[in-house]
Amino acid sequence: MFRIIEIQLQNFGPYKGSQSIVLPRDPGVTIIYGENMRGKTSLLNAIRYALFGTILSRGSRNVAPKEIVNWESQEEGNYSFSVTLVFESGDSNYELTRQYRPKKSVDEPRTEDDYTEEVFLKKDGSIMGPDDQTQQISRVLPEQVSRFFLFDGELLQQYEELLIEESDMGRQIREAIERILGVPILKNGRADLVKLLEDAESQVSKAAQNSQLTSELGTQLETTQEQKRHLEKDLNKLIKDKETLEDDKIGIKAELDKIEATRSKIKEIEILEEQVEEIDSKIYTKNEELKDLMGHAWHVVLMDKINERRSILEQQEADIQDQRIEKSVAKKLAERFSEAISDETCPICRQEIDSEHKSHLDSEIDNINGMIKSDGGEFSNNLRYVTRAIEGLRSMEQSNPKMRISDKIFEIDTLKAEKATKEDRIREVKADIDTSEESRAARLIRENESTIGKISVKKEAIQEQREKVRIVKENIENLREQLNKVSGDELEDEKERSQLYQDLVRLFDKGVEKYRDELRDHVEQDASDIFVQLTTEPEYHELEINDNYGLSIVHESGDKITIRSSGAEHVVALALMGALQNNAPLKGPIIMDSPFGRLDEGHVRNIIETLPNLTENIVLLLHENELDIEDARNILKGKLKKEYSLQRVTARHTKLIAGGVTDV
Amino acid sequence: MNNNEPTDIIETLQDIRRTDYPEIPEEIVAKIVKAEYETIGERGQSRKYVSDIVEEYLEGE
Amino acid sequence: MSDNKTTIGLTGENKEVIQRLLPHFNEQRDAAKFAMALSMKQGHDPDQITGTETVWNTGSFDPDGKLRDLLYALYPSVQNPYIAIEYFVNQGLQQLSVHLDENRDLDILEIIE
Repeated sequence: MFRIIEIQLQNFGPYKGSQSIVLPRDPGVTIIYGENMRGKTSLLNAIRYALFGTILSRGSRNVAPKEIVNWESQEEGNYSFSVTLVFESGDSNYELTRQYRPKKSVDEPRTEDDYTEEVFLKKDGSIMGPDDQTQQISRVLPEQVSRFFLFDGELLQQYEELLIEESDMGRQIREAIERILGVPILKNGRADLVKLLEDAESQVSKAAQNSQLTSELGTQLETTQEQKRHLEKDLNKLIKDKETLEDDKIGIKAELDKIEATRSKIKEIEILEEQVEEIDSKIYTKNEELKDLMGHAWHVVLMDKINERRSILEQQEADIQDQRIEKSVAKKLAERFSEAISDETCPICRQEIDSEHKSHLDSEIDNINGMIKSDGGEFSNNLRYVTRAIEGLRSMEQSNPKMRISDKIFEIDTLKAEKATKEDRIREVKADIDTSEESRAARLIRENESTIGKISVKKEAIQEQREKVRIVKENIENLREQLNKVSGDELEDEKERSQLYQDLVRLFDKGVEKYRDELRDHVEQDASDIFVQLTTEPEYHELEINDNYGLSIVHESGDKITIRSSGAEHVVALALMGALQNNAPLKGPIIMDSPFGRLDEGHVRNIIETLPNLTENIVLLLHENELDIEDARNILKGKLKKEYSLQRVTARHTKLIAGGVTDV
Repeated sequence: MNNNEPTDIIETLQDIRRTDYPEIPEEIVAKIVKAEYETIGERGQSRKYVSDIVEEYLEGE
Repeated sequence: MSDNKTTIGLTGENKEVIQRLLPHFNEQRDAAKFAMALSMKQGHDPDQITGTETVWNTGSFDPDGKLRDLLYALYPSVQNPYIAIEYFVNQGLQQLSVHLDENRDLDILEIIE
């Protein structure tokens, strides 16, 4: 049983200074609450780092350790970090420390080369040597299966790899699962028995050589066995080489995947730059159009003044017209007065006009004529001026490009804003890219192709070699048969030994197959049982397992569900984790970051209720939105053993606080 | 398996032995599996133990 | 009314100002009219300016005589519209120079509102 007792952090991620989490001794659930970006994933990474020296980011990318040093402590001149894991496995106590610090000669480290990493593993108080360390850790928890104990709800795509039968990653994971399930015990047994069988057969041929009757056959047998040994050694080397190449291929693919992210960023930049060019071109065109409109802008500037002036002039015109009418009326009146004077009779009342009235009328006529003459020239000049002016001003009003100018300016400003947004995005993406990756990508692609070619060559060679081994084995069989016919009792003991080993080898051979199948059946059954408890979909009947321990959901109709939502993926992965825990000689804690991710309430409830049955110790790293603490307490009741919360001190400093979330 | 003994493995082998290889003595199978289990990670050791187990049986005959 | 002014000119300083305005106009003439309009809009009285160097002749500056008619309409007391126009152009360019210094670039919308 692998049980984590304490996790001690020193300047790891947001955990400034020395902080630790102590897990409860009793079986149950520990919940660690924190908002996003507070450091939940860092806790998972701390365990990964201590055990394997790896740190994963979102998207399962490896992160360089130097990115993990707490920023605030870096600013204070402290560039080191470490994680210590105190744990039990079997009957032994372990203390594992992995430390990352600048090399002695470096004051201010900048690159990976300025740092050094040290690992110390104590078992029951004694420090283990480096080779033993690696072996010991992989026995406690092999890295390939760590994903089933250190569960990051965000990295679900990893679980999908299990479904792809032919994938190289699938093979690695399967082997790791089998390791954890105990299959190596059988495999090692078989390997030992095969070797011992070889030795036993060698003893037979040597014994045969000692007898006159059988010495020739014995010699031939020994020579042929020697041949077989060489061929098998070569075959094993070829197989090993092929597996190494396949591992390399996985590694190259992982590198390419990382670079894929870069290449897609570069593509994004190219597209954005094209778009910016297009916008520039549009801006240019619109600016030219604006310039044309600006040829009439003076007009717009003066429009108000022109309107005002025109109003005044129109008023003047009206006044002048009024004056004109007045004068016309006055002229008519003067004429009537003249007529009256010459007729000596009032034209209205027909009475005689006396000399006093005549003289009055004369005076009026003089006044009127005086008035008419006084502004004669000016009057008509004024009117001409005013009329012309008004005409001139009116003709200007016909086209007012004001709206078109402001619309055009608005269009240009909009385009400029769009351009600025895109340029910001370009800068953002560029900052994120390591341009040296472009050339790496080309090299990796070449390497990948070369590796694929080499694997293919190896496969052919393996086939040929297997054929050679088969032929030699046939020869050995023939020689043995001949020997059996000819030999008497002298070789009895050796033959008995050889036969026993032969039977044992075959037994273990079949044992490996059968055990594997039985295990897979158990895992399938347990995973199905757990899945049915976790899922909220009543039509999902069970899970079906493939050779790689990949699981498919089977609908009650018998059809396999081929396209799974990430929610379903989540639940299937949990079911597999539980099943492995049930069937493995290794039992360990399950530590889950964002275990509920985007799952709905129904699933969350089911998972909470089922979790304590999966394994003894569970640690959940949660956001309040995923599960309310009161709900958790109610559902788990006595099984909830401890709570921690991640408290913000600053944006780059989180404090681990033990106790109930509501207590803080 | 959910305990620290390889009983499942032994059972699986015994089932096969009973039907296909009855001439293999029963106790040898259990001993070999236990030896492998205890020496997992120590390859040189396991082979010696297995050899001793078989030789012990053969001498006893 | 005497129409014997046949050229429109700019001071040395204003020749530089008009260069700064050029990105916004097809020709210097358009910029000059814009400046003239700004000066008139702000209520300056027609006046006369000296020390200019000829840039345009009035026939090319005001081919259809619209500007001349406008000046007469707006300023009835003006004797020589092209003298006034020359004044307004230069005065307006001075104002735009200040505007450019304050705003880094021509804020068209501010001026035409």
